[in-house]
Amino acid sequence: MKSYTKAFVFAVLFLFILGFIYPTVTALITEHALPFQSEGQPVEIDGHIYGSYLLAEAFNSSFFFQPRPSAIDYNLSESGSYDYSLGNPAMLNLTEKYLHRFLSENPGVNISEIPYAMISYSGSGLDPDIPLQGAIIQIPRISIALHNITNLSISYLYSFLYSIVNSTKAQNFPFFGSYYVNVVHLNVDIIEFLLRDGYISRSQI
Amino acid sequence: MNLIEYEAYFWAKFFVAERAVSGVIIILIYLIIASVFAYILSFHIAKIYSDEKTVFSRATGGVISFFEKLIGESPDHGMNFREYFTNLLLFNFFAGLISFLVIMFQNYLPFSYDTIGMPPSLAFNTVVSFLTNTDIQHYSDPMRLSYLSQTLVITGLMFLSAGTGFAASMAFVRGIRTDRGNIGNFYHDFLVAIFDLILPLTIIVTVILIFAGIPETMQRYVTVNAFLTNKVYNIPLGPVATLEAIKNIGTNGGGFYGANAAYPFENPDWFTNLVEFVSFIIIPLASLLALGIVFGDRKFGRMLYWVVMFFFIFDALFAFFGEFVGVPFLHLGYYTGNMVGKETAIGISQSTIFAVGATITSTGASNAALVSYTPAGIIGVLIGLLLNDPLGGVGTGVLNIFMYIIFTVFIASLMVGKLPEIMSLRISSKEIKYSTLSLITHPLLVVIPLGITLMIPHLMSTFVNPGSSRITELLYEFASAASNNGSEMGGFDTNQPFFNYLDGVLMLLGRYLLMAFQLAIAQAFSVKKAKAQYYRSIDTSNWIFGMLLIAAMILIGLLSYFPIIVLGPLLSWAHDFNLMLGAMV
Repeated sequence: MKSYTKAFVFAVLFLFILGFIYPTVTALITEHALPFQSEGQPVEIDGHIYGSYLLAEAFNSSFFFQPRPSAIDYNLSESGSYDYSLGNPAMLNLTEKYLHRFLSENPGVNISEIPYAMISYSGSGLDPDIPLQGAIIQIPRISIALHNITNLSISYLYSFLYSIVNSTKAQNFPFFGSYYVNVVHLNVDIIEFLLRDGYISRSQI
Repeated sequence: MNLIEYEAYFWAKFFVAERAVSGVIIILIYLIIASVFAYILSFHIAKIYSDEKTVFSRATGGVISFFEKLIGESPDHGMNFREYFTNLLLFNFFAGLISFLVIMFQNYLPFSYDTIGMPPSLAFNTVVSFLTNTDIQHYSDPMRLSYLSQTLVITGLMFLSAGTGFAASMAFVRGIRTDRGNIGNFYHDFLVAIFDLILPLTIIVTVILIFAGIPETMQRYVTVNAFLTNKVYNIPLGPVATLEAIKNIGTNGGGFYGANAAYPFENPDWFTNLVEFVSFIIIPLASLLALGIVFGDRKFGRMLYWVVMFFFIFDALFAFFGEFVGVPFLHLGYYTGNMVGKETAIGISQSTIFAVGATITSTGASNAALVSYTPAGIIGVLIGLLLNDPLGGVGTGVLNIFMYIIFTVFIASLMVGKLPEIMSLRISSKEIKYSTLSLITHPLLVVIPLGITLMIPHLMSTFVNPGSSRITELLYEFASAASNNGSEMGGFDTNQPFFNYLDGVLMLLGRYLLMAFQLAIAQAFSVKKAKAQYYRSIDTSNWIFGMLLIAAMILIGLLSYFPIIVLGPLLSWAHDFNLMLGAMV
């Protein structure tokens, strides 16, 4: 064989084996062995898919825990952030806008209690996690919103929300990391709570 | 609560509250874990470098000889530099050509679903960047590529470029180690690199990542209906775990999603972050340690390890504290460091160590938006790029650091009046010529395009940020292309024909021109016989030489860029901290 034939044969063979066969076989095995993981951990309620446990979405109701701001407006088919450097005046404006929005959505919260992560956008635009404190300061607003739907006592809703936050919290490195919670897990817990006791129906969500 | 429990509770609270202390500890834990795994792998790589049988040989020996018989090659057919490099180039050329055609006509090929074709400049840039192990991505939507392009081209080229790089380093080590006058057989080296090293590691990492929750499917997307809205989204899916595994093991760095490892599907939590970090550090670091074993001088490997660790720890702490302090005028709310563009589940310390690790090796994956880094943080990340990736990619790390070593040996020997020798081989004019050429090529590939770009007025229209950030962004873009790193800062529209073609050329030169110089040195060494040492040359494995090496790397690597660093990140730094110097912009 001439050397260019050898090179050509090798290029075709290995692109096909390593590039096509290997991922495809792995994908087929994973799809059957671990369907939940292979599809990106979908949130499934009664056979309907509402999102993924790993991706934040626009939880636009006041009884939901709010995720971090998104540069892509929580568009699940995209990802990314703004191209602003920190020195760009637009960055300061944006951060102030996020801060005011958070304050108006959560009346009674002190500025110094709001973790910076809650008023800055994430790299993917779909960060499902917020710092633990970012969830705790949203609990008063959510319990009032839930109270308006369910008529349950505020103190009961408080303890319910505290308990789901406490059971979802995780550290971002064992022992040394800071605590965070996954908003999708929390909000699915809230939805399931409302569904179970019949405060909202399946067709509404 | 007894005393021990109280102690544990106290420290747990202390570390959660004191983010600066825990951040430094987390960074050191990352480095220690990576070093331990690299140490274990170094024995395996040493066997490959000395052409011995490895633990996988029993299984892979048959496969390797099958493919060799198929094309009529054998490991006994030694090639000289010219033949080796020609075969390497031909193989890469055909792989690139096939990939280019597949991407250009992806909409007519099977598994296209509803993708459209790519414009030639973007297709050229994409193929070249994955072929040269760079993985700069000027497209960001995963739906831009069909399933066939995403697997055959992207995943395939990731394997091929890593295998090619490692084969080159095998040839280089062989050139020094033997005196047969040839540097080995390219096809054999490539097969050994793939089957004995890269593929087994990739499979292990794939399995870990799949169990850690990263998707892996042939489906193109999953359709979801967001809560309490009637909006329907298609979340892009595909063979993410396999791509992620080879992306890191092969030090490639191009992600499946536009946000790269910041996207939760690619990197959901600290565990995957650590796995990905270790997997892109492991082969480059283990290769350096393996050099000590191969040349029978373990101190040499240890010296190289500490030289690289010096830059690594310095960069990581620099970037971490830069990000931790943030910029004063954005200290709003309860400030926990510059979280703009970073993920909560990963945090500041793990984002910065990942970004620094990705530029010290030639990986270029990023788990945060680099354009939103503080100027201090970006300097920590940039240093790796400007030094042409001191730890390097799979294989190329060994080649790059040897250029610095040869140069340093030459200078140091001249200073004290000893013979310039390395591994008991004389360094003659040819080696020093090629190593100097390869050392100055990288700065030239960065500085010249930067200067040209700054003089083209209409290119400035897509820049988002003011003043000195633009210089930083351009420096980052070209340094990343020239050092085959692939990490991207953004800040302007990179998907323009000008940048697509220019970056493509830089990547090709940064990869193949440097490799040619380096393999030519290997060829020059391969005809030399090792002579017994009579203490007539300097000791290349003690700490004094290590410090000289660091000095040489700073002098040659960093000082070439000093004016640009001053105009770019340092000026932004002064501006953000309201120093008098910063008021001028």
